[in-house]
Amino acid sequence: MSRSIAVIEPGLLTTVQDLGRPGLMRFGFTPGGAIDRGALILGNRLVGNLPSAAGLEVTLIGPRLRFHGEAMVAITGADLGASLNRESVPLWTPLLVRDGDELSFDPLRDTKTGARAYICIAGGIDIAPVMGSRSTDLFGRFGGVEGRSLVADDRLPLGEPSESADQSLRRRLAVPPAVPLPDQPVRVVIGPQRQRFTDAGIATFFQASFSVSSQSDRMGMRLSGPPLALSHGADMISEGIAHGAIQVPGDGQPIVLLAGRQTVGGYPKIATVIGADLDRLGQRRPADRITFAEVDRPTAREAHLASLARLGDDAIVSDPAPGIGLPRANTGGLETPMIEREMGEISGWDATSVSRLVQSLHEANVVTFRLQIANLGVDLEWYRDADTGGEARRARAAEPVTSSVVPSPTPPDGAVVTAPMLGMFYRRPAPDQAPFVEEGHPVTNGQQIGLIEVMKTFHEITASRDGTLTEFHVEDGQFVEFGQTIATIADAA
Amino acid sequence: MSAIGISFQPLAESALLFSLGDEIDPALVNRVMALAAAIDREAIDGVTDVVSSYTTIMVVFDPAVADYDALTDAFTRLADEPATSADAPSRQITIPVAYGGEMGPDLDDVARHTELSADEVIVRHAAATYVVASMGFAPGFGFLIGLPAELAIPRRRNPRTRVPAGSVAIGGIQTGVYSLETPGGWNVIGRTPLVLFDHTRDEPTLLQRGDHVRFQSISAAEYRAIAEATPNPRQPGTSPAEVVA
Repeated sequence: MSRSIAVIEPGLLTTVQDLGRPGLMRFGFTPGGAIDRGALILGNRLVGNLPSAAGLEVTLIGPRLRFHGEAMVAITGADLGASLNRESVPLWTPLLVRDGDELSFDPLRDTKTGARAYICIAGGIDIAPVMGSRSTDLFGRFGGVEGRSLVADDRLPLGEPSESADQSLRRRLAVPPAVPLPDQPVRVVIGPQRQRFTDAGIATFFQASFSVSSQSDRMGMRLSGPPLALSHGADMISEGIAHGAIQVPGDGQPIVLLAGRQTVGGYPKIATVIGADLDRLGQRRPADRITFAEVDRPTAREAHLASLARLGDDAIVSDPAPGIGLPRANTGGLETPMIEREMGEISGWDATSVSRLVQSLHEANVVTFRLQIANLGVDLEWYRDADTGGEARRARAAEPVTSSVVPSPTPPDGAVVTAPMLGMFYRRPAPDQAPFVEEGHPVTNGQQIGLIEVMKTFHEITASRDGTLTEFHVEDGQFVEFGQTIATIADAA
Repeated sequence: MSAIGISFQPLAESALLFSLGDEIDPALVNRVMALAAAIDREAIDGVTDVVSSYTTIMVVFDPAVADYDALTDAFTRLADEPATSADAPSRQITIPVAYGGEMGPDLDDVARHTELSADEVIVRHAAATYVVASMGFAPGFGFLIGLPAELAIPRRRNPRTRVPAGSVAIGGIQTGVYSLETPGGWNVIGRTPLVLFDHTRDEPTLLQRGDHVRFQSISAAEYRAIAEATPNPRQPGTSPAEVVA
């Protein structure tokens, strides 16, 4: 009993989320819940949970987690480099995680195609619900773990799974997850304050592309682009704010209100993102670009119902239970009688007999194989493309990820400081203050030379050695990716 | 009451905005509150949230269950019915406020904008009686009507990313108390040591819709004394040692 997850490193912003607490907006409580609801629902379904079970929402930089006790886990949403015991693992697939295993996210394998991953565990995260939900309300500071994002040494108890690991392992998505198309516009219904914008402002909204600000968070996605011209000023009487409302304060820069938004507000709203596009929108990363396209309400309703239909029971299929022998289609040429002969000869299940079986399967070109007898289990998967002979492993081969940022060659005579995370790099503590350090000045190991802002959090960038900071390779206020070279430090003159 | 002057706007497919006017007016606020209560009583299938404000009611619904046109028809019919407001007697709440200084960084801006002295802004803000017209924005935040007209000032052009809990602020012709540390665009003129929202209390929110509220000017020393006597386990960031120092 008392299976749990221990947090070794929390990642950038990892929170317990479920489908939120609708119905309490009249008291000022945001509905909240997962930003990419579809990813959470499908992840839960893949491990046999109800769609409303609580999982972890991982943002941009994932956590490092240790499992205490065996658990079925599905990771969905963005591919942020999910790894089990440092080996890359597939998303959208039930995974058997064993006692002591470490789940982590390798930023070098982040495919940079999304912002949020979901970790769904059979049985769900079993913390006490607050007002009907386990979701973390970061704005109200309640729910989840003490109303905050995870920190190191947090311990998350797990609930009882509704089915055996073997049942979960046979589950898979009926249809592969949709590949996000970066150029696809986000669809909106215009209003309710259409009349508070000039025609030019409306035209700009639909023609311009907007960049996702690093100041975005679970409440709102801040966008920057050409200012949207208001005709009546930005002050209006406060009113209820719908999920996906796009409000425009006086500086003309739109903010899309997400699941963790405030319930009421007083800035003009140019349009509302349709329900079918909210999950995809929530996966946009800082510095991604967004365009908007108008649809009418009936179109929005049809799209919403269609998107909900893709998250239902039918979204998951279960492969048939494996019996003795293998389905012929999976044997890759191995004749069933041969398997039965091998099985028949193995009586004691010692190491030698298991390796004999493995050898027979490999020679017969079997690609995947699972054997479970009582408490003993063997999962095998061979990879043909790697041509690595007898190598057998459970996880898929790690695919090399081409980074969009080409690291600068390491200067022979100086250390380089690289970005420990993506975000907005600043050389100054505040816009009106002097830089932390000027080029050409001496620095000591550990001295702060800048900061990176992402999701409204700030992270110190420090010198990696004693020496002279000869050059900054990024501008003040420039967006940096993980691993990008920030500065060069040469030996002191 | 008649349906003249009402309008509906779709907020994508899962919500609508029901507008009953465009001025903050106590009679209209009462009408909106009564109508929101009437919509609640109808308990329409598929309706999940009814959020009323000064002039509008936002209704959130499941478009697979509730039909937009049927909803707007039902709300139009309710707006035509005579109001049946059975209000409970209002509670009287007094909120002590340390005005100006670090706790009210925008007091001088408000004074400049209104062409009053900072002291006069404080006197006038604390002299009025307010009514909680709407709860929202954040848990426990009450939108108050009754601000003296001369104290009105537009929201800041760029919202602050952090406004401390307890901050007393003016936005347009509205005033209120930030119940949490949140981003916000109102002009902050002071801070109360009272805790507006604590989900561990039996009554998590200090204010409720319909409450009558007055502000009372206190010194920094009085602020510290009240804050020390007020349990606030959830928000150590608002402990007096940190905010008064």
